[in-house]
Amino acid sequence: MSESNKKISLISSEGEAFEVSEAVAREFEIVAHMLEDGCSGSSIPITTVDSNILGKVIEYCTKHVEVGNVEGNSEKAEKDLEEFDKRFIAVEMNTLFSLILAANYLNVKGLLNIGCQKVADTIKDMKPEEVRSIFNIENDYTPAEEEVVRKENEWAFQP
Amino acid sequence: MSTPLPQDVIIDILARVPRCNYPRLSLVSKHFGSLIASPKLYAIRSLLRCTEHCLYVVLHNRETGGDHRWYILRQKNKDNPRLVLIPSLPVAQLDASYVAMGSKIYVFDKSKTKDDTRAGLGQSLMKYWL
Repeated sequence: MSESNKKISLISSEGEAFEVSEAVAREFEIVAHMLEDGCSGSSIPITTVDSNILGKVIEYCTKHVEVGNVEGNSEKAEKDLEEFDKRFIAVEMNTLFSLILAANYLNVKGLLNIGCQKVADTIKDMKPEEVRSIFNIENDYTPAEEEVVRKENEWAFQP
Repeated sequence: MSTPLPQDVIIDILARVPRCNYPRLSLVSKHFGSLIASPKLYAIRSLLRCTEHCLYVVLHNRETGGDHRWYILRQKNKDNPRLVLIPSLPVAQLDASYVAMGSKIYVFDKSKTKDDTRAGLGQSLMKYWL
């Protein structure tokens, strides 16, 4: 079997197997390292990622591998890929955070980049309380401390 | 949200946000505030090529006298850029030197360095730079 046809099973946290080509599996840098380290087994457990998210990450990597393999017409291909990324990342916040966590763990740099950019674009014009609810964090400033930070940056809050 | 994002990922996200939003995002939590003030954030901004130029100006009204104060060029409204006073910064010393390095501006105040021969240290003046 030639290397490009070799299949690898990625096993989600629920134990579901996703069969992908080695090229797609290698888009997960963590898997690429395992393969290089001689871990030649054909099934690799991805214990921290559930089926829903693993499926999406595989969809992302498959598309990027496919486009990477097409020769010529690179400008159009690049544009298509940009469009794909845009649609792919237009998901609700919980899914977006799960995708980022998975991309960070599996080391899929492109996906991590578009995920972080999407969150950045979403929070940049938000009020602090909205950002807290997205990140699920508490305001741990005392009113006095908050006033100090506000005062320090007063100039920036002017209309 | 079940699993919180790791700190490195949060820094990566913040680095992609325009700088003019940092003061507001500093109010989210102490953790956000400290990340926004950290040199690491500005290092990541450089890596991601997200740096923004920023102009700080010291102004003084000759006629009314008064202190030399720091202003920043605010470009939030692109058609109407203006200089805004930063009241939280100390009055500028005219005989001091100011150097921008990394994410900070350093002050070399001659009156202080007389007593302190370690003149190279300087005092950090500003949190937000780049």
